[in-house]
Amino acid sequence: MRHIPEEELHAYLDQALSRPQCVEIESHLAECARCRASRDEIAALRDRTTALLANLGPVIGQAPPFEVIRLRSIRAGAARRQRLSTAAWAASIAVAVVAGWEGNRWLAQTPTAAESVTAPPTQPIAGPLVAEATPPSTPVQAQPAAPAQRRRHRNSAPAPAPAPATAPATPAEPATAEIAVEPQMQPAVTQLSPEDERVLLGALATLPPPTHPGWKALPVGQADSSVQTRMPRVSGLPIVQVLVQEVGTDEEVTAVDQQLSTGETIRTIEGPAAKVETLIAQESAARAEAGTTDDKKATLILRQGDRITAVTGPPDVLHNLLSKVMARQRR
Amino acid sequence: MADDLESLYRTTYASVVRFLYRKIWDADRAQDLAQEVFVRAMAHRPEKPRAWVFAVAANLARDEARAAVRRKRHLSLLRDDPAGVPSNEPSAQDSVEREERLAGIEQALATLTPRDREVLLLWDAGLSYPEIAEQTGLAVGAVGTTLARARRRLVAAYDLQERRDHAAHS
Repeated sequence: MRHIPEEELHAYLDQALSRPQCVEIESHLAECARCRASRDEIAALRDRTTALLANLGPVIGQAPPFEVIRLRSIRAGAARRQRLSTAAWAASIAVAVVAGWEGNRWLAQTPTAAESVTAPPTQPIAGPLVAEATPPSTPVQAQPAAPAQRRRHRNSAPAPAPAPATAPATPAEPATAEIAVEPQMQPAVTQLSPEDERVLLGALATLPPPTHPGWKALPVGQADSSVQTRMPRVSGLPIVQVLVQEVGTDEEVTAVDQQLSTGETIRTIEGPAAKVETLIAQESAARAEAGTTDDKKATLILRQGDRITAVTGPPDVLHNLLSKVMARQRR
Repeated sequence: MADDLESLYRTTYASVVRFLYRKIWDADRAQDLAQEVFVRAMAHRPEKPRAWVFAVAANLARDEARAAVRRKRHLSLLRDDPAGVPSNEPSAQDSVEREERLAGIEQALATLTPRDREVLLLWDAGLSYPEIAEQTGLAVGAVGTTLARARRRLVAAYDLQERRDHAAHS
């Protein structure tokens, strides 16, 4: 009489066999004590494996709402279309708008020296929404620091043509962005499905007025791949927007907003100590001036040499974060 | 189709996170990558979404391992988990024991061959024999054999360590 091979018993217990195979095995088991013993032993082994592996999982509360996936997907799609077609500049406006998500007030009052020189005086009061058509593979740090050249304004005529002297400053990369401006083009937003649009509009409804001169919004998908090593963030949280200042210089400041599962935002800013401190001071001054009861935000400051990483968010979240960092340091 | 993905997301997100975590050992990154997997699924609309999701997750984990080597400075902070408030933290002793046990399992898992480990993790993530076969290139019939070996080795490696630890402690 043929005994049942070990792997077949595994497959049997894993319910991976066909009905006739199961019947065959079961009738053999009924009359073979040795195979019954093997089956019990394998069942125990199987249970132990499952139990051991069950220890090896991060305890995750709830999956973030599917809307997070949808939004990320819309943004990724917009970034893709933008890469595919220079005419799709409008898509990144959508990206920038979606990315706004929550208060940009913090970043509102800090036009930088470089920006005030290069930004045309005809800037609309509402402030520019920036469309970027940077090739995806280009690291952000390698971008020439001439943001106004690639800047397009939603409410105004295209920015003046860049001075020829600065144009060749882009070394190896083609001047993709300069061809991108065709205001009469259909915005790529219309390619969204009605469902995507609903999400998009839902996000728009929560937006404060877009005013952050001096800052440049990076399409999230692109930022993800190009500034990965430098982008300050709390890993594991979906990124809602990435803003940069003075890219490629020592004065570079990066701000990354991420969404918590509660829907609140946590913001991480990385930059030279003095600049980041100024930003934080301005924010709390603005808060005091506005007399808002918005005291539900705390800031955690990590100083590394002459640079600071500051994380602003709900106090309990930051407290949690800090205790985990400490725990990790101790190890 | 979108709704299919949404319900797949609800039912398998946690499995995908665990699957990724057991490959890269970074809970936060595992969650980020799991979301990325579903974002890609939104664009691709795969025919067999469940198998597809794990195949992409496996690829991302491989890329991640490479990137981790390159990455020199990565500010990796832990995410908030509302359940993990300090009040119900286990005692220090408990958590040390737990850490040791986890490290033991992790090491035991590391003793398996890559293929055995992959099959075991895929099975544990809820994939069927045919799905595992498709993803790993094994014949369906070989999945049982591989799983049998992987389970035996995992438990044996873990028990061996336990005995060594006991011997060392006493």
